[in-house]
Amino acid sequence: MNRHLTDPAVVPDPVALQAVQRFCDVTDAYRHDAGTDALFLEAMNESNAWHAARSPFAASLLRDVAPLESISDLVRQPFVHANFFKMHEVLSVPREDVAVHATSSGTTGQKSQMFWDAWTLRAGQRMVARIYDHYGWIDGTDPVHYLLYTNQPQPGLKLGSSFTGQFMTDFAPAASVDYGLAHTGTGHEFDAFGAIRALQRFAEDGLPMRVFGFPAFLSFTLDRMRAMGIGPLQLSPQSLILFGGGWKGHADKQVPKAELYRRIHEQLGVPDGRIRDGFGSVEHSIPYLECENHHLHVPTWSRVLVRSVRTLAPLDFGERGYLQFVSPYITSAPAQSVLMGDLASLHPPEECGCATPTPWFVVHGRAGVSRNRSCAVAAAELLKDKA
Amino acid sequence: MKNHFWQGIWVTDEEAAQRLETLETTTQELLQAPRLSPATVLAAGDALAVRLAKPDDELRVRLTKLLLERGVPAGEAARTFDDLLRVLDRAELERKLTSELGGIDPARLARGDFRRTVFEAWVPVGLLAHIASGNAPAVGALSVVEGLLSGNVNVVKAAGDDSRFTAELLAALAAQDPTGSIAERVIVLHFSSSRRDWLARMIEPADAVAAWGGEEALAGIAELVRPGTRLIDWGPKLSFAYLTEDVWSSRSALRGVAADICRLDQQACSSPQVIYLDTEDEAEVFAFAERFAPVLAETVAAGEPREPSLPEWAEITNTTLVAQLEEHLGLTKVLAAEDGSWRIIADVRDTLRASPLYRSVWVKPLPRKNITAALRPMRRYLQTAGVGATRPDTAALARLLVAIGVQRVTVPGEMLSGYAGEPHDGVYALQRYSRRVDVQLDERFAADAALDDLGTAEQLPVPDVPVTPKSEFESLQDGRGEVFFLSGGSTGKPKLSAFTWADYDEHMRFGAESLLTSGLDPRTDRVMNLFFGGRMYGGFVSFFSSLERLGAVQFPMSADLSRLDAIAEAIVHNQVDTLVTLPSFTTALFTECADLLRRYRGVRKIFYAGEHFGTAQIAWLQAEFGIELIRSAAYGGVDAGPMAFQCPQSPARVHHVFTGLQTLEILDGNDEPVPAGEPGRLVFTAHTRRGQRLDRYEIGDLGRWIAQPCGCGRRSPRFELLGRVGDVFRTAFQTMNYRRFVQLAEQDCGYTGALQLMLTDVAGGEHLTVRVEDGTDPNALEQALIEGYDQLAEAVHGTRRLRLEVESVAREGFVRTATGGKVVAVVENRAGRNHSGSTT
Repeated sequence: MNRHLTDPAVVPDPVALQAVQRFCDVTDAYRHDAGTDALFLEAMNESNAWHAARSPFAASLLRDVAPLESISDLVRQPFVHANFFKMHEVLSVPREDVAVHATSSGTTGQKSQMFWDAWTLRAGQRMVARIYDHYGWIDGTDPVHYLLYTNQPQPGLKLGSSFTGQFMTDFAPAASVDYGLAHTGTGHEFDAFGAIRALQRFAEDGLPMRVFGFPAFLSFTLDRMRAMGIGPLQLSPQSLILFGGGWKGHADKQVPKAELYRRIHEQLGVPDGRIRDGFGSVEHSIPYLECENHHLHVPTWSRVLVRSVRTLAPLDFGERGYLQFVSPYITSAPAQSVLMGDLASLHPPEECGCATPTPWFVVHGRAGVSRNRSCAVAAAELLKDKA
Repeated sequence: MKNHFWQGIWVTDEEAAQRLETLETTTQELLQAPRLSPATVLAAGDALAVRLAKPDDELRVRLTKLLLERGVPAGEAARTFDDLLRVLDRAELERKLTSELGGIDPARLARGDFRRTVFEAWVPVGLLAHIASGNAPAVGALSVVEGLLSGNVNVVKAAGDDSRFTAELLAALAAQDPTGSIAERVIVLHFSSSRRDWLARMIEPADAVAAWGGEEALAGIAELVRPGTRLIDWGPKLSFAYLTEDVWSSRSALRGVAADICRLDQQACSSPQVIYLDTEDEAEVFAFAERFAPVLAETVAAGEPREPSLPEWAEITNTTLVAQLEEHLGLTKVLAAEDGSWRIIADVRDTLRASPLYRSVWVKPLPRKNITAALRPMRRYLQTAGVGATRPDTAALARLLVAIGVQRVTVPGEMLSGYAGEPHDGVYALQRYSRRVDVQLDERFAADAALDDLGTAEQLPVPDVPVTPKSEFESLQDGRGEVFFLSGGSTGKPKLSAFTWADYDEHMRFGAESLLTSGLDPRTDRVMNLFFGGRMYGGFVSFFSSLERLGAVQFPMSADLSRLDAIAEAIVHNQVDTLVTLPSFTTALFTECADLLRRYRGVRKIFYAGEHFGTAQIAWLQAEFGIELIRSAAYGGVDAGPMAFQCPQSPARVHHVFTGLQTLEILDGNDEPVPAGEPGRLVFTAHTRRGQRLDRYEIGDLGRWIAQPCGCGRRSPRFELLGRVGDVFRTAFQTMNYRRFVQLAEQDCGYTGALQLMLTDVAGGEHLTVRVEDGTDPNALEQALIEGYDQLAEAVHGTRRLRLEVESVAREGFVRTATGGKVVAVVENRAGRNHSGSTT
């Protein structure tokens, strides 16, 4: 068994967080039923108490909030806007217990950040491993080639996505590891030639390939291949492409998802079902990964709500609003309930068609305006300038 | 689908792609074609505005539909037309041209300093690329109007979701221009920013790129702009109010700030997004928010607040939510309307923040000593500051704020107000769309006011309106006069001619040019101004102003018939060698002071205006007093301003048209153009007159075209004056011309004085009295007239319907006009006819 599934994962305080421990120990990746609901609520109440006791901010925010008693009480759970974490360092553990200060360049230009203690980090990785396991992507024997569209590592690097990239190589033995964003000595640069050479090599030796990272760069690689008259290549159909991080910084060149997947299939030979996008954030690092129908299902360890952008009232299935993530697993910062700056709609499991029994959501872009209709500068632009 | 407007025709994607390859050659062709006059653009803009002003006009209906199609709310669509009408307004555009480029024909290569042969102009950059953003629908089209005003070839990238609005609007503008010059210079392409190759191809040959949009879009454009190509980036801006302790409790100041926040739903770049208080005290910030909330609530309730879109709501909620979370940290306090129509976020941090708009405002502390440190890093975003403070503080803060990067300072309540000719974001757009060039030449060009006349000097087309006769002059007074002169000297009825100061300035400039061209040398000539002044006469002051513009030495004496000796003495005493004056005054002066002036013999040049100068008089002055040059200062009048000038090669009465300023038509009795060489009525269109429009105005003179090119090399059309329209009269079944009488008197009797005809009814016919000055032999003149003028002889001796009498009278015995003191040429005393005539 993979060590990310089996290594111990223990909450910082097994007494105060005993329900959190039990809840996170549920091994099924996609299970929302009465049992997990009850455990979830118990764990959430523990989590609220944990943060209120350790963070003055959380104490103030959660003052007068009665414990959650049923899953319908979830709408009462206070939430923190993700943008708040971009501006403030709020912790629920002593600074020295912080294992990782994760940062990520945000779509709006502002850097996202989050502080993870050992448990939060470990619990998150174990969730990823379980989801991999669920889809049958853990293979201890056959080596694969990795092409990571993340920053080539360098000591002291704190970018969350790069960290995630390295972790991703733990689920199948590495025949080779290439980076799409090569380290230049002073920074990182997209290395189209390197990426193309790697893909050509993978195609020649026939081993499966695993690609992780920003979709923009694989898209640029395909553009370059086409421009240079290279390909189509035939990679192993056992290859796997997992995207994350969105098109941040390259929104103007964004290609619709279906078109990108079609081009990947045409130019690299990877089947559509083996191309999966992921959605996650530094503020709430529960992994949301596409099923074979390309829908983002909610895993066992979190719940998702959608709220009106005008009134913040919870919305029904299918309606567009703010995406709210709730999960009791995080102990290092009061991010157990985060309102994301994304516009999304939630859909019942049966509308997907895959067998996954949990709801899924569609992200419809950023909730807000990057540019005002007028000539007035928009908030996002101004913030970017300060970052 | 033909989505792209290319030089007057609609083309498909494929055609546009092909034509993009030819953008450089197209530009090259246009750059060597006759330049586009701003007057053409002004006229087209005016005509377009007339159509857009009518809500039911087909064009407006169609354009509104296009706006709605691209998701512009109805209210904003209406506001877009209001904006367009304001900007296209002719007076507004003229003021803009004048304040930004110094005049309404800035590309004319004209003399700056009349004492040096240096010519300067604001010429177009060449090919101007405009990258419009999706947020403000009219911005692309308006930028092209500015590009056209500055004479450029324009290629526009309209936003992908523009639904043809920009192209249709510009096509409509081009359609108002009968010359087709606008259409030639407008290319509108619709494509999404993701088509980088198109963007690159339209930017590649451009000389300047004007770009709107967010930072990211601008950065993407900047990558494509070659080094040396001018990038005019109209990036996003932010404005704020700044209140000191003296004002922050004043209800009127708070109402002003609230009004600024509410205007245009806070969408303007000049809308305040932050209220800074001159304090370090956090308590003051929270207290102000509490004071301001009811004022803002009241102002919002009185207006018609617009509902934000879903993404805009999200932006508001994002900001409000984070601020509410920060209340837990003691940093903020959010005060918001129950119905979500406004919100105030008091925040103890001084960082400049953008508001999510729709009546959302930050309140922050910023003691004045910290202004520089806090705001200078944000300088590229800063636009307007609404300063509420005492007078001394306001002055000091205005100085400080502009020093650290603010572009506009106003008072609370006026942040969104502007004025005509106001710079935009720290620059004059038209200057950014132009290059200031100079041509330094030699002595051969000493008398050339502008180089353009030596090249092609095509006349501008005239508007499609009927001819207005001189008698209807007053009906044209619909403009906004700022300086008035007495007019109507010819008919004797006093009336006023209205000019704006800009008209006056322009006319004086052309007056100066005319004097230069006629032979006045501002480097050497010592000029005495001998026109009548005061009493609302235009003569003295306008020549004073023209000489001032020339930089010539001037002795502003003014004409005075009772002080002829003193004037002559001043001429001698001051070594005056050049006179600008009226012919009749010249004659009086040189007659009365002949001895002194003959001894002096220092007057070398005379430039005259207002009356005809008889050739015999000119000969006399030249022979007796050694005057070398006697020439018309300009063909102009108080009605229409300067219309034409004489070059050194021009025979008497022959003039060149001021083509930049006027268009001349010479028309027959049916208002049809006469053939070259045939006499007709002179009809002028003053293209730039603001004080009152003069479109196809019949000036009252007769003339004919001179087809032969002028020896001076100027290509501007020439015509010969043939006298006043009133000079021609019917009597005793004959048509006669006053000019013929004058000519015969000069030619056969050597008579050079005043001559007046008077028509009276008598039993059995009419009576024509020819009045001349004392000392003339009436019999000899009568003899000469009968012998020389067949029609007169026929009337007097043939049909015997006319009795002719020549009488000599004292100079003061002539009938003169009430306003100018000019001798009336034909005095009409017959019954049933108006008692008007024309002057000499």
